[in-house]
Amino acid sequence: MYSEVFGATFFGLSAFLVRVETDVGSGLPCFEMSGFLTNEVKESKERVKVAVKNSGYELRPQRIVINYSPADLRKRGTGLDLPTAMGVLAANGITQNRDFGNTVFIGELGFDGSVRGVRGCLACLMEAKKKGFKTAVVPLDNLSECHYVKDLNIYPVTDLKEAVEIFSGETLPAPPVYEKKVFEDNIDELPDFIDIKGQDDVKRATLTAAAGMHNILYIGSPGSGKSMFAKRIPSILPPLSYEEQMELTKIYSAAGKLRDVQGLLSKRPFRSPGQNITEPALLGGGNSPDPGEITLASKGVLFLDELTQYKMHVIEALRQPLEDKKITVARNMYTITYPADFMLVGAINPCKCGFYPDRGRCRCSDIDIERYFGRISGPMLDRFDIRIYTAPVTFADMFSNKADENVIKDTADETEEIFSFTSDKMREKVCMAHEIQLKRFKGSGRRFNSEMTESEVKEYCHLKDNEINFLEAVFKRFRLTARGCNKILKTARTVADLAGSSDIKKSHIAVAVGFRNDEHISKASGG
Amino acid sequence: MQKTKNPESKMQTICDDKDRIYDYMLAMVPGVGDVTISALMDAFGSAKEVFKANEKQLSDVNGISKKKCSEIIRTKNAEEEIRQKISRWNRDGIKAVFIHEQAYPKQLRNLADAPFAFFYKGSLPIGAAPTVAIVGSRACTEYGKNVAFSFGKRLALEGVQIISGMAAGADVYGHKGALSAGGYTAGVLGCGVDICYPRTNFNVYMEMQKTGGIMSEVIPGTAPAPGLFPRRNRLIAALSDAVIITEARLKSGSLITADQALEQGKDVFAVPGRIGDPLSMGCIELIRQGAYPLTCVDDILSSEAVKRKIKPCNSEAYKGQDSSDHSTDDENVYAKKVLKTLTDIPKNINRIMYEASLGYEVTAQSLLELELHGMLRSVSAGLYVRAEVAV
Ligand SMILES: [Zn+2]
Repeated sequence: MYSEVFGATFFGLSAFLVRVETDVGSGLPCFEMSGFLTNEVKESKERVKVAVKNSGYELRPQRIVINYSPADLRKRGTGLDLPTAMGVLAANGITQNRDFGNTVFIGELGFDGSVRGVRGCLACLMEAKKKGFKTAVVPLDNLSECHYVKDLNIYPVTDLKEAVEIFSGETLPAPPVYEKKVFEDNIDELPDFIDIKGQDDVKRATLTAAAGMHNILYIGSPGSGKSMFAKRIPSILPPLSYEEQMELTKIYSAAGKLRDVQGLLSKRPFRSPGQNITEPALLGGGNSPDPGEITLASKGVLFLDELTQYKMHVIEALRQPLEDKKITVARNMYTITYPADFMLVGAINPCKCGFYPDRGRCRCSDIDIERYFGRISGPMLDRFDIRIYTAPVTFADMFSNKADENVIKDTADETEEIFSFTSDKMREKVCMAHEIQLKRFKGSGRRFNSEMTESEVKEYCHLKDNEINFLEAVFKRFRLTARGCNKILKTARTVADLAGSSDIKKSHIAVAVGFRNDEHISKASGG
Repeated sequence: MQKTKNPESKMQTICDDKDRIYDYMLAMVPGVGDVTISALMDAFGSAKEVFKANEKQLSDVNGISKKKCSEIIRTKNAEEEIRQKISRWNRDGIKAVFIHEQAYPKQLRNLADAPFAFFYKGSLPIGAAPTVAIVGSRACTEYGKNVAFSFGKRLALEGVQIISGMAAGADVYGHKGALSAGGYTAGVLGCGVDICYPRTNFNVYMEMQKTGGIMSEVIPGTAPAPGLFPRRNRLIAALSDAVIITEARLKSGSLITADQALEQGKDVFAVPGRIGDPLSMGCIELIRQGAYPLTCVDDILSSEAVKRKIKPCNSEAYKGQDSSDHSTDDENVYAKKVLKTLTDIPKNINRIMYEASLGYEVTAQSLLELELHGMLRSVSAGLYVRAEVAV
């Protein structure tokens, strides 16, 4: 007898439907599978046979031939176990209702007949919906990521028997209804900038970085709080939109990293891979085409602590995806493009011993410092629009809340509004700046000041005469390159946006120059 | 570019004097040092005669081993090659002066181990002009940099030539100070004069060739090596009438320079630093041993060695910064407030805005404008100090 069942598998972030055609007949007992399968799929033979038996279905010795189509696409993953088993059972007439044309089955089988969660479930279901399927049978493990797919009847199952029973009657039972969790913006669970005392300049630089999605490099001694700043960046980025959450969940689903998440991913990622990370692990690819850290950091932060400790070719490989906001991984078997839309946050000691500029402790010569920075290439350092030094926290900073208040009070009466750096307040500012940029770049494909092209810099960073003269003086004094000048203008645009100013003023340029530390860095990197 | 009034200009190139090629050759014999050269010159009278001598005559000279002998002969055979090398040097502006020549700095002749050849780019210091060396720790504090810069500048304005080693830290700031005043400043290197070491000082290296000089006793092309630097220090001391030590740790290279200066009978001035700061301990130790504490530029100018060479001149040169800018009055007020907060102790912008009672953006703007006008320096690590110490 013959049956036709649908499964789905995925490749990169895109999924496709697989037609599983099973024929059982008399002949020498065997189990044959064809249709461009990876080993994972070929191995399902044993799992399916044992799972079917242990679920209590007795099959007579028979010749089973299964074909998976379309034949030209490589099928991977263990998610085809369930449709294969259903196909075999249907071909044996074990299920009553054999009209599976509208249903897609996804799940891995255990020997005991249990149905286990798989990677890429969300992408598969979204594809099924697009192709007009009405029903899906999925592992209960994957439910949280799946029931956000609208207009699809979803039947979660824990074992093969349950799946078979759904199809035992004339008609399908009504699908269980799940209360869909409202996706929350749980900023409260994130570490808050309020925990960091003092260092207002670093907070301001961080705020500016988040507001224009500029890459930021923290330079400072051990204990000066570099990673504290980095870890707090997700708390000031705007909440993820529903689409962004779906996108992100799809990525994590494909990478098999959704274990602890209930529902969609609502938090912006903060990825900090260790210093011995390999290029495939960072960029994606390898033997199986999994997304790398830069893709997992999409919509969030990729934090590289102690930048000089990474293998330099690995760091250099970040340059292209930083420009493109995506990464194409090509191996002889495949070519996949993943999103890589992240904010790069780096941290680095100021010198080899870590104590510069404290000359009481640091004996590094200028050459030592140059050599230390020189481990990172000039073009790579250039990718950081903002390079800010983090001064070690002083005793007064740690124990005096009063000092902070004083700063705010004293500065306020002269020139600027009071601003206290809590994650809440900072996030408000960032959201406001993002909105301004959204309007500015509408229809251009760009979203943030940091992404501006050269011609867009000319258009949106228009300066008045006074400011042009000022910038020219800076240009000459610091021997800037045209590229460095553009970077300063981009950051100055963000500083002006944060200040709610449509014009870029001298002070905005000055702040951007201060955030760039061009002279010191280019000197240090020998460029 | 070279000022014609310098007496050595006549003898600068081998084209002027055919026999100078032998001086060059003698200086370049591998393994033959200044002591041996001195013995050879005593025996034969001139470099030309040295190369005319046969093996027997050479080995009769005291201290000439067989090996040295064959090196001299090998050098003789390489004459054409050396000629080409020298014309390349001449083309690159590298000159040499030899100990028996009139242009050879008199101050160096007093050294027991005076170099036979002295290579340089730019010009040599003038012996009749007051000359002060500024040396100090390479890994110095911002205070040390400011002190070196300020003394370099103020002394240069008084017509004092500034000598140092072009090393990172105090050395280069002394040079920079002199350059900023348009004065003569010379860097005595431990490597060939054609090599900019450290590379970070390239701008200063180029500038000094225009208005001052780069000099060395080692043959051009010689790479920097640890052993060369202490020997170089004796030349710095010899070329100077007085030596300023800005900052030094105990047992540091700067103290060796101080010792050599004292041996040569030069005045040594040490900047009294803060107690407890390791970078001050060397200077404090020097003062304890009898060095002059240096507190202002007059300490130097009124010292006997310097005073007798000073011509009453440039004193009007110390003038304030002209401000040909387009700042509004408000901006000037803010800049003044910011400037008032600056000292030699590096401060970051948080501290400065707090002390000046100004907002962040205004403070950032003021700092940048002050920096553009040379009134402050932003030292690495986002910290600011005033550009000069009042000395
Ligand atoms: Zn250090």
